[in-house]
Amino acid sequence: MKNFKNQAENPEKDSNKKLLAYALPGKKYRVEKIYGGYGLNSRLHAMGIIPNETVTVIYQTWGGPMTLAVKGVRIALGRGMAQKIEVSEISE
Amino acid sequence: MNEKILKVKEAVRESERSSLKKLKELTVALVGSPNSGKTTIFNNLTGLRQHVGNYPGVTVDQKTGEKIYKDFKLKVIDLPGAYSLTAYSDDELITRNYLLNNKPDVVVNIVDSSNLARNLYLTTQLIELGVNLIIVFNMSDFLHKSGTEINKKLLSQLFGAPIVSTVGNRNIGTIEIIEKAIEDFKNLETRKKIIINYGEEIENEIARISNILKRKEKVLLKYDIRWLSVKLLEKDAIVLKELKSIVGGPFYDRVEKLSLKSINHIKNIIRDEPETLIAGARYGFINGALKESLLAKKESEFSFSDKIDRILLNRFFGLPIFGIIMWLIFQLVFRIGEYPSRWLGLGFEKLSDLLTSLLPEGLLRSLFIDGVIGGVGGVLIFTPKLVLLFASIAVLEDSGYMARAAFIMDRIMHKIGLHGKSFIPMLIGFGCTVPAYMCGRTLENRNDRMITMHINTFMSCGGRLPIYILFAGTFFANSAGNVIFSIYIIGILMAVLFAKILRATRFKGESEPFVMELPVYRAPTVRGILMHTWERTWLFIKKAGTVILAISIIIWILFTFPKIGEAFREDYNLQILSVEQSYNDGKISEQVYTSKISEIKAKMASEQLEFSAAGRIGHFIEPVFKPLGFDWKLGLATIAGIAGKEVVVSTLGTVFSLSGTEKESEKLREAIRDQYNPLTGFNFMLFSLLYFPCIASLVVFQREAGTKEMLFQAGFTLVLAWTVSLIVFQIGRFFI
Repeated sequence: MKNFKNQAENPEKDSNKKLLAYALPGKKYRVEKIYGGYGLNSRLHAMGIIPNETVTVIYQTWGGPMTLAVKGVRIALGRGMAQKIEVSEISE
Repeated sequence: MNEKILKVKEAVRESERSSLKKLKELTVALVGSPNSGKTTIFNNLTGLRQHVGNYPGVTVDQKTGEKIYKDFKLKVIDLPGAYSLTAYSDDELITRNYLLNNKPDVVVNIVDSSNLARNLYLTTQLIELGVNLIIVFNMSDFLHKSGTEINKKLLSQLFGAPIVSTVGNRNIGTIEIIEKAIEDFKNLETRKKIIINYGEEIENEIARISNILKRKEKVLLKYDIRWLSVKLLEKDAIVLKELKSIVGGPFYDRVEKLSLKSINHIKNIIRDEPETLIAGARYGFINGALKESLLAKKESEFSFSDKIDRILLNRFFGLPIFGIIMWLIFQLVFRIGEYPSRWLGLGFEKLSDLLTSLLPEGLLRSLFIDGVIGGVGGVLIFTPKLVLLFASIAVLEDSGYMARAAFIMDRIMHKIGLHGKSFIPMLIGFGCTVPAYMCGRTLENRNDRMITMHINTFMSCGGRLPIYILFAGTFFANSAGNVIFSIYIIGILMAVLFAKILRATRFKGESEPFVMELPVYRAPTVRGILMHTWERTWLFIKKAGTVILAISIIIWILFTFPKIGEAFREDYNLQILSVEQSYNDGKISEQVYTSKISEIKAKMASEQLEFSAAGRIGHFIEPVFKPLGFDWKLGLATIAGIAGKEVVVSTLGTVFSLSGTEKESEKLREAIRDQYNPLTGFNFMLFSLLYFPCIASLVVFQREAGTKEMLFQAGFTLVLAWTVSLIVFQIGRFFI
């Protein structure tokens, strides 16, 4: 819970933020925020995509759907969805 | 002596009583996510003792079955696959409502155990509901293979529910589930209820809301207060609605206000919706529990699937590979499937011959040979092709490729305003629309589903194929294959066109967001494929057995009655007799004799036809079809085709006064060649393509989408077919 409180105040993370739709394949990202309505949010949560979770981008079509790995499961996301998920890069 | 007899009688009565002792009943509900193998386990539990019904008002199947074990009768219900129990989709709501309202004795949660970190999410929600839970770790063979070891005892303590390991597609562990369920049922009291802690801030608000809720007895009786408070913090729309109707007015307002206050309070502190935090806490609980009970873990096996995906999902290779796979399937279905179809055809011929020799000439024989075998047989001949198509689709689904196909198609589907998942029902629609409509359920968004279902008719179904083969074969000989192919393409183009039109007009709105799980690639089991193929094939056969049989008989009646008068028949019989006489006297050869007899019989049949109800209907309807270049015979065949497109060809056979199996033969082609021209032939194929598939499909459509939509489908396809054929004929005439 504490992480959420510190999130917005931490400048380093801010500069790494981008939308999942533009994330690079093969890289790991931390989910920051989901900009959806209740329906979208709870569906993504059920899939394992929640704030602070690590996702790995597997495949990008750059303009179409993408696939990522979260909690060991492979999920395909449409472009619209991917544009509503804000992530930050995790430096390895 | 009397005493002894009395004692014996007593003993007999006693043993009768104990054997008639009623079986103890318990209800078992199966809950699990779509890829968990739940349906396989349901089949394992209930075998053939299943029944598929409908939830009132909703288009999701209610699958129930029974299993008798020792002296227990388990009533098993397979609830729809769901990833969670929110209010945002029909499936989830049905599951949740069933659990809340029907209070099953035992809830069996089927979990794909190769991905516990994610798949136990639904489990946590079931714990929150407070049901009597049994967790099933399905696909435990994969779990074992991956080298992961779990302390099941500890984990089940932490989750407050027993854990059973199974391998669904090999039917391992099924009995253990039953035994655990019975054990659970017997030991109701010793259950420990596990509470998941959501963190200080949320727990405070839960307490606050619970205190208010506790005061109303009505609420206490119906709900678990903690669960209700959590739902209110999650802003669950359905719960809010229900609560309002139960407690109404001032109390509800107070509760609503308090909930909003709590939600805002949390948003201020934590910068996120309570729902998100609660979800996070659930995963936190899962992670914690897994950390303690996981003994060993190897790297996940996914990398192999990822490697395959790199090729199959590839922007450049993906679509062509998909195309090749589709082409292979069609070759399998139509080329290889042709052989068993032909054997079936021969079989029916033999059957007809047998009946011809066994039964005396007359109505009964005609009913069986022309009506039943002619009508239904024509449909059943398709079964081998359908079985191959459904089996191919089952292989794609079970192996995990289908999800990839939906991914690849999503981009294209998106362009015409549809969803990647829409493509699966469209694919099945090439076989038979009835199972395709049922597949429409995978689309949760109603607009998506409606559009997909409406345009499915343009995926030229198997029933239309005999029409194409007949007319293309008759008029276009060598290029028949290409002509048929062009019809399929026209169908697809129409589908695209109407998808766009419908999306822009009647079913406006965003397509459902595309989120889909891509399962690990797995070798499909023979058992799995057989099960899935059978499920869908059975639907088709049932349709043939019922609707088509009924309508074939009705059509037979319409063609046979009223019978031409005695006087006319006498006339023809005399003619036949005189020809026979000439032959016996040696005045004409056998050849001439045979052909004259056929001629007379044909004339008689033709007059009978004009006289019959069907004939009269045909002539009556003719004006509708004339502008399209169709005569009353084609018109009549089309109407008969409402039973099922497969019936059109056999009706044409009857109309041209052929009987029994002659209908399939060269004679029919000759008759058609004589009567019509290539333009009409092609036009008729077009017409058959465009109007709705058949009555059975309308029936299922109505069940899935409601009467209004069904009427719309029937209406718009008829108008479209008529208009297009009109244009094609009127313009085409100038070129013939």
